[in-house]
Amino acid sequence: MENRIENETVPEAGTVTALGRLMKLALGVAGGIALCAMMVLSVYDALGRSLFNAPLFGANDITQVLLVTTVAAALPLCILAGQAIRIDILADMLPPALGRMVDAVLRWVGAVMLGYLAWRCLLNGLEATRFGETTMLLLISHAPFYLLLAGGLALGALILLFPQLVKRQSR
Amino acid sequence: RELKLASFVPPQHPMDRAAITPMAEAFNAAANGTSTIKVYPSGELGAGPVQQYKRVVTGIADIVFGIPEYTPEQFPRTTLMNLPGLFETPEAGTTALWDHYELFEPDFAQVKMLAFWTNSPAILITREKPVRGIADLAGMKIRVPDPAAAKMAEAWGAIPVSTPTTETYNAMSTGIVDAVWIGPSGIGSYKLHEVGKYLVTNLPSPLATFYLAMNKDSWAALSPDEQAALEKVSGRDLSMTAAAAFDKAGADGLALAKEAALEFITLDEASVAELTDKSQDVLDALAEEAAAKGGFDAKMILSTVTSR
Amino acid sequence: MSATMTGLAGFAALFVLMGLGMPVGIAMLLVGFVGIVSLSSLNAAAYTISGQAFEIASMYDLSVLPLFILMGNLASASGLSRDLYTAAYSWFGHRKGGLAGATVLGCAGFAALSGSSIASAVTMGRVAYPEMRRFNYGSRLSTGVIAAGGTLGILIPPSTGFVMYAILTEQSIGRLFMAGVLPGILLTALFLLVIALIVHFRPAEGPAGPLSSTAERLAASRRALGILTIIVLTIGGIYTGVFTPVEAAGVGAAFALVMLVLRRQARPEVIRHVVLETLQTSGMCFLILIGASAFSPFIALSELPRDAAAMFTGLGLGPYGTIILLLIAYAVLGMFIEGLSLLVITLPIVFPVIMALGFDPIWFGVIMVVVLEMGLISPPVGVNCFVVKTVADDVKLQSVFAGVMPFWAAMMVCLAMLIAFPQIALLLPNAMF
Ligand code: NA
Ligand code: NA
Repeated sequence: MENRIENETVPEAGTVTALGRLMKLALGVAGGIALCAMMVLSVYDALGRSLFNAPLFGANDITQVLLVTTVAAALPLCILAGQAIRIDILADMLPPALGRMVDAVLRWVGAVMLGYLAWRCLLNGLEATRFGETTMLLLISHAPFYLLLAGGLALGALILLFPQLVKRQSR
Repeated sequence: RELKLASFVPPQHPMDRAAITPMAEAFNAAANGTSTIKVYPSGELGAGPVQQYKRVVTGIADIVFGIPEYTPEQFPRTTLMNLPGLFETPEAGTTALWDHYELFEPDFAQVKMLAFWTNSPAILITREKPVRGIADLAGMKIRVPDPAAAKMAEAWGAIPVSTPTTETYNAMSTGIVDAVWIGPSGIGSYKLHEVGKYLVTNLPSPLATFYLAMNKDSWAALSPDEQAALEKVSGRDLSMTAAAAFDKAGADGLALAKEAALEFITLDEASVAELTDKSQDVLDALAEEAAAKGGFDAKMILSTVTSR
Repeated sequence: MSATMTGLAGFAALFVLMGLGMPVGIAMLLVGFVGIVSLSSLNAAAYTISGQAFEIASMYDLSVLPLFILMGNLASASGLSRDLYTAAYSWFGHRKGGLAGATVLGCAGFAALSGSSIASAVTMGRVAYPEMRRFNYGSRLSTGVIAAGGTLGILIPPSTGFVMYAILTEQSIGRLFMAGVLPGILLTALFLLVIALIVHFRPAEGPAGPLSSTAERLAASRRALGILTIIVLTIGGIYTGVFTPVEAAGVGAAFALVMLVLRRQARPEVIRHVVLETLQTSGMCFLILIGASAFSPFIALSELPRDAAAMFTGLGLGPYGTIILLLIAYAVLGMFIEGLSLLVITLPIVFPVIMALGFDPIWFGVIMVVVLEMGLISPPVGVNCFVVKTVADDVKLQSVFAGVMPFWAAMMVCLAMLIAFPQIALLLPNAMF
């Protein structure tokens, strides 16, 4: 993996970067709320049980769907921040022109793969009722959460296609 | 042709040893190598119990091992069997499943059923306080196996807790729960004899159902000889073998508990009657709800399988 | 093409795609998908990848990942990392190599709050590097100690490495966390020993710092109590069984948030930064896990695990010979492949072999994590060394790599001790509750 720690923003005006910022804000708020809810829920459950003899029934079920929500926001954010782990030792050896071409091809292939996964998650969501997919105790339907995950993956695919959204990384 | 059997339990699991691997081996011997069943244990083809039914219907696997209670909405009729207090032994539960299979068949309309069985009704293991009647259950935190059991526990004044089975030992040893309500075969698996003091054997208790089901296209693709061979090593006989294996695992678990000097409690008839009485409304409501959702006669199913 | 050949071709394709710069998680997803299509069917592949992605994203146990990452980020934002370093510095700064020792102790303490080696190296690096430079520490020692100390982040619980291992091998997260405690302390001690040896033979590398007064020491130690509380709450809570790992993570994060508020650091931009960092790091872990969850059914279908087990038994090396061979292979692979990726890629093959040889899965988890730590600092792809380079702009990367070599040797010693005395790892998990 190359050094992707210190982000160095390349100033770039235009709608694409504005869109990137908007995406980051929306995903950050959604993911942050789910994350926070997960934290509060586990504290409430643990303390309620040990101090007040009143655990929250089905807390695990709620945690599960909150986790899906968190992940749905986290995946595109990770790609947007250029933090998906990469190991590009071969790429560094290629001549620059070829390297750019390979990079573009791989981005397209990756985006198609993620997009296809998003599409299949969407179909799964539409079928979730048919297979009775719910959480075990509270019977929360998996359907809407499949759709959230599909949305997150689809955004991730889009971001891969628009590298100008992703923060440039210093070496 | 290789038939992929997807199981989410590891190969050492009693159900793999009692039903899954024996069926695969018997079929492979009988089919003379024209088709073979290959077992993919431990979720190798996909993790967890929730999606097992989907995996067999969509053809990710040709055969799956599944537990209906993880997706109650897919199996509204079968999960009626989980209602506490219906059966006393795995054999009785399994016999009922096969004597009246047509009642449950709609739950499994998209697959070919290979085996269908139950375990033993749960026993209650408590960590400090003995339970000799309904009064002792008040305020007790009980780890419950499923939503129906949770409603029952509430009706008895207890507090249902939903820890994963893998956390049961920890939860009992540290007092996260005061009691676990679990099939007796779980005593050995989760070392509950080390952390419990009392064991109640005759609470009106739930049991769990299990199935081995096959993709319909995969079934149709078998030659008539192969189909006959598979029929021979599966079905009611295999189910009864699996039930017997649970019975033995349950007896082994109880023996462990005896050895560890847990006090065995058998509730008297009056206490059982009181508990049954208190929970009857819950049972009726659950049956009603399942029936309303699924559009079938739950009361009829219950009265048929239990002759009550 | 036989299933085995398809499996091998899959691995080759994976390495090429990764080498060319495709994100590891997406490369695994792609190879897993194509592999299942060829060994099973398009339909099976389509349902497998989407079903597995959801299974991973909704796995209750995995909620420890974002929660512990949140805890580490909150602790870092509220300045808890500096407190640790300052406390260790006040006690040992006046000795030869004392600042380097304080850095290792600071790293070990921060490791108990953070699940990531990179985060540990960055956080402690920013605090400790300027100090060491101020007191004329050698560039090799001062960068090497940060890069190596940071790796303690995945050995001392909580640890993303252990969580990934637990999910991929169906082991208990709590037991794995506990198994990392004593080896973490051992490795910390070995690092301190390495520093002592370095400054003994080359005193110029680590001159003595200033002597702190008793009042300063007590004040610094008191400030470090906040961290101690979190460690007792989380690791202690898991050990005694009062909390499950998920609850410990939630309670730890909540407590770190309270500390942030009490220290008047809870400004909007800080919260925003913490939340985004947490989500991004979590996303990175989940992307890899989702890729791995598509890749491992492919590997199971390819029968490579069975072939690998047969091959290793066929070599007739015996269990310990096989382990050593595997470790050498990992040390080499670890030079090129980032740690977590190496773990998720190789486990479907290696874990069945280890089980067949009769080794303890918890113990092997610890061995794996120490091997990953070595990969994190070994050239040419030593992530922690790159990280330190970003903190220490004035130092050449070669110097950083030269600086970590003695610590790499300490990790080898740690591995040897773990193999000779597995109890070091297994004592605590076996004594839990
Ligand atoms: Na850590
Ligand atoms: Na390396």
